[in-house]
Amino acid sequence: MPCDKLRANGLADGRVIAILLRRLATALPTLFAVILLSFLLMRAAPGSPFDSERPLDAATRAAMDKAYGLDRPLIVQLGRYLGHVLQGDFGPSLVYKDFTVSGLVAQGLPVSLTLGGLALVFAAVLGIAGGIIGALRPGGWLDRWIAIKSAVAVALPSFVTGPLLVLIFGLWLSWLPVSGLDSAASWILPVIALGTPAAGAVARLTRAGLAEAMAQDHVRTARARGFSPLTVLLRHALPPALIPVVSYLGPAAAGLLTGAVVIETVFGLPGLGRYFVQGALNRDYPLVLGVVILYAGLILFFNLIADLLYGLLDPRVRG
Amino acid sequence: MTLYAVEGLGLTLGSARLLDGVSFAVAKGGCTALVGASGSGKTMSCFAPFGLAPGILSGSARLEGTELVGLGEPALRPLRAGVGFVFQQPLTALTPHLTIGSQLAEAAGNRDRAALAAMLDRCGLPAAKLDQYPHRLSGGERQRALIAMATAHEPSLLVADEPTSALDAGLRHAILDLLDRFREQGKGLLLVSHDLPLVARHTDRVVVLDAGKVIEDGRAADVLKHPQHEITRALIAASPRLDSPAPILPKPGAPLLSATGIKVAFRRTLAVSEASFDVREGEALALVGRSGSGKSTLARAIARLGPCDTGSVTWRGQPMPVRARMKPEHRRRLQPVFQDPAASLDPHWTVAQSVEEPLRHLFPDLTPEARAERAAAALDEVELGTAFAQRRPSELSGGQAQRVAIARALVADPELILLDEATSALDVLVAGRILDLLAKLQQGRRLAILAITHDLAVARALCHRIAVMDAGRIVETGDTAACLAAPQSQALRDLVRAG
Amino acid sequence: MKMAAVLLAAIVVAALLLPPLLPWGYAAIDWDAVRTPAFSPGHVLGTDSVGRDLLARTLAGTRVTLAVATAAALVALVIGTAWGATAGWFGGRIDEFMMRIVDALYALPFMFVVIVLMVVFGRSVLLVFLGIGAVEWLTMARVVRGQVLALRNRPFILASEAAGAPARAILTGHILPNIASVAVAYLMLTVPQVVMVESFLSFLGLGVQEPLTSLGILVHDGADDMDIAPLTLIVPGFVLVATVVCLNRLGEGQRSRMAR
Repeated sequence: MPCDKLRANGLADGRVIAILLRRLATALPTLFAVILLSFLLMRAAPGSPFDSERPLDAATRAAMDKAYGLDRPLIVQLGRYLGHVLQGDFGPSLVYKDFTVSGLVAQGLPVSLTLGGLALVFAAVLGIAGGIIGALRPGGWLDRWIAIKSAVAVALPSFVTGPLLVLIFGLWLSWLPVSGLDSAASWILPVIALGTPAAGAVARLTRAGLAEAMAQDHVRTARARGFSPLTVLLRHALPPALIPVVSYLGPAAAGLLTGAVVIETVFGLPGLGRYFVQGALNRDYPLVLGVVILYAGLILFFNLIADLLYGLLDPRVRG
Repeated sequence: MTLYAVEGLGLTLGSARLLDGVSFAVAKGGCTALVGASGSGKTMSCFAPFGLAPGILSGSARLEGTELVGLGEPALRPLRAGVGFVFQQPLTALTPHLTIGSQLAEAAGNRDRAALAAMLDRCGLPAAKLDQYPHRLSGGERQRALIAMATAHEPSLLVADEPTSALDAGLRHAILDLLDRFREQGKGLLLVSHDLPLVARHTDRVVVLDAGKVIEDGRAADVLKHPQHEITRALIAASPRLDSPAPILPKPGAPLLSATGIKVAFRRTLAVSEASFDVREGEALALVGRSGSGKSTLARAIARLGPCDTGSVTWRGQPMPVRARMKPEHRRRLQPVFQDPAASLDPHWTVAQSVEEPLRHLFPDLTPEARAERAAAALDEVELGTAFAQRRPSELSGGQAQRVAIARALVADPELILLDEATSALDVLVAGRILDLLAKLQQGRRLAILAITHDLAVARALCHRIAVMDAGRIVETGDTAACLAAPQSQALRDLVRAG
Repeated sequence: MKMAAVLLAAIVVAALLLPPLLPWGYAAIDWDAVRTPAFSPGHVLGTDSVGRDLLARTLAGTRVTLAVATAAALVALVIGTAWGATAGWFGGRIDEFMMRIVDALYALPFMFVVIVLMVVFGRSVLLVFLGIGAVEWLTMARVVRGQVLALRNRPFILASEAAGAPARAILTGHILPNIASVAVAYLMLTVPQVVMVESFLSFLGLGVQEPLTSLGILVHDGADDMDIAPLTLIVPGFVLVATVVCLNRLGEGQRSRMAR
């Protein structure tokens, strides 16, 4: 019974919960700091969101400011903003006049999350498989070939791979769609472009982790017992080898979210990243703030999951 | 009836010949021990025939009639499954992320909980351990679990490589008793050990190895009581025995160091509580106890190399600050020598630089020439020539590195030397020579010594008095010979019995 | 590893020494040759959409990218080492506090903050440095702190304390030399990271500005033109990837030598 197992190892009162709480204790102030920082930065920026081609005259600007509540003291603005955020209301977009930020987020977030999620899965599956295959015959030609491919993959930024893939598969060969989200196939190129560097990193981490795990005493014990090489690798060597991979995937999720910004632009996907860049260039405060807070929250959440997974893979961490 | 016979075994790796013409046999129900200094090839001889060591094999190794040498990996695997291996470091030998139960089930090929519980019980472990992870078990429990796994599939041969060297003295005989019980069932035991008293008590035949060759071979009683070869004799002499004659120690003088009521706490556990002792000029005090009893913590607290919460320390009656930093004039009086010689020297510094370091900080008025002279004198005292001065730690052997550490401790002309398990990490022959050096220095310099050790024979060789620690408290103090002959505390009794 | 060093050296040497030998500078516009293919007269690799020589521009971009990367990596090294060494040396509460801050910062979507900073305060090269350095010092701090912690309780450090050495002497004489090699290895791995970050920012239009160019800007411009002049994408893209691969290889080679 899993409960008995937990109790037998001193986890009856849930050290896991302790880890969760400790993570939250760091995460929440961080989130607050992010909100505060973004808020202050935006307010400190020269110029006003309403300056389009030329600055507005004083009277019009005062009226606009009042309408949007931009004339109150900073503290008050911050307080009101926080209040709204906690209710899920990020305010109206200043540039996309008919939309609220929450509305834009609701439109764009699913796309970005799907893109990021698929890329993460792509990276994890391809990377771990690559690492395992290489480790089956250490030093063999397959191992070295995978190692070289991984090293190159890590160095391929998405903003280089993306256009190249569009060039080759879209313009020259016309095999795959390169713009918009018309069909399921539209996801293929963006996911590959986004996930390739992470896949390379995961493959190298897995391979290195396996190399180290295979040299450990307990693997020698397993070999001495006469188990097959595959059993030894998968059951005894792989779980500790995956620990650095899991540690990596937390921040990797952050990197994927960032890279998604570029990919969405290159492939014309209606995701959140595109709104963010537009918002930043047009000083659309609420939109930018909303996206930053959202992303910070997501990253903190991914890191939490990574921590929990870490505990599963290495019981020693649990105490 | 011979179970396992090895004849003319040779092992070559690259251009090095690791084993040459090694022959020995294990009888059914019998125990053969391979002994020798480190690097003599004992471990290789055990594992090479089963494909667990690198290199090219030659010769013959027959397990119940089946020839092992020349078999490829696929053929060896099922044979390996028929042998039980017990390794040296129980913690690292167990897979950390699998429970004891699942590893045992894997070894036994059987998931039935009752059967697994019976296997654990046979080795003295309760069934509850099945659900625990290796890091939650104590050292002795882990070794028992390993033995349970090794015997789970009822092998005919057990191969044990230093199964007790990582364990406390008290546990060693218990583990070997357990292995003896398997012998009674007709299994054969091939044991590798450098612990000669242990070997004397538990084995039938002894095979002595040196540099990959067998130099002596015969019944245990014969070889150990009447050794023929000089290396065998050296090995026996180097093993500290409690019944050796008492050493002549220098007479102690005036009181030197006095510690009262020392308390050290880590987070919520009390590592040392209410410890008090004193040391006189020229006197050597041994601080003994099991691992985890707090000896190192206490000594480091006194030397201000580790934390100390309360208590007082005086030197010749003058108080020394217990919580603040030590001043140079205090530091000069008390110098340490640590356990691991390789880790106690900065890998980037030359020997000369390391030995001169105390002089640079504690005697800032010395000119560089004067410093170099004193350093050279110290190296001389520890029997290392000037050729060693420019070497780096990676170019030194364990014994040489420890001599450098001792020279560094001596160069400031201290009155008290703190030996923190100074010989535990050394090979048994090398440790013997270091002990001789320390005895010589003790006589020549009238050095006071505070020796922390879990090995009573070391206490016997050097120290006037002994203080026994158990769970952070000093439970017994007194004259070394008297205490060892008639121990009052349970802790000392356990230590004496085990040694 | 030798191949990586050779290739990288070739790129660097080309970037530094080749431009004076070329007929066209990186900003000069050849009105007669717009979007010409490779091996056109005077333009070995062709020209871009405005008529500038592609080879010259690529080399100029490489110079800028590498310069920014090295400088920013050094900034990250200094800050990270100071932070990590302090946390590792003092241990206890101070260490916990300092590393909590690092953990919290690690979780930030830094790229976004940097972008916001760029937008708000304009695009200055100084900001590029600070922004990138601010992202990269965290890893360095963690690595250094780990190393210092491991060394802190080694017997030779204790022996040094017993020898009367003050903390300052131990840090400079024992700790720093022993972490130097690891720090250098991570520095060599940080440089390619910074190259990626800088290129990313430049691609979005937020990094280095005209008349300077960098590999990121070149890739962006190339992507715009790739249907007509694919070389404008492929050449800078290839140089970027090759540089990063070589730097990574060198850094890892260094790191594995350290591990022994």
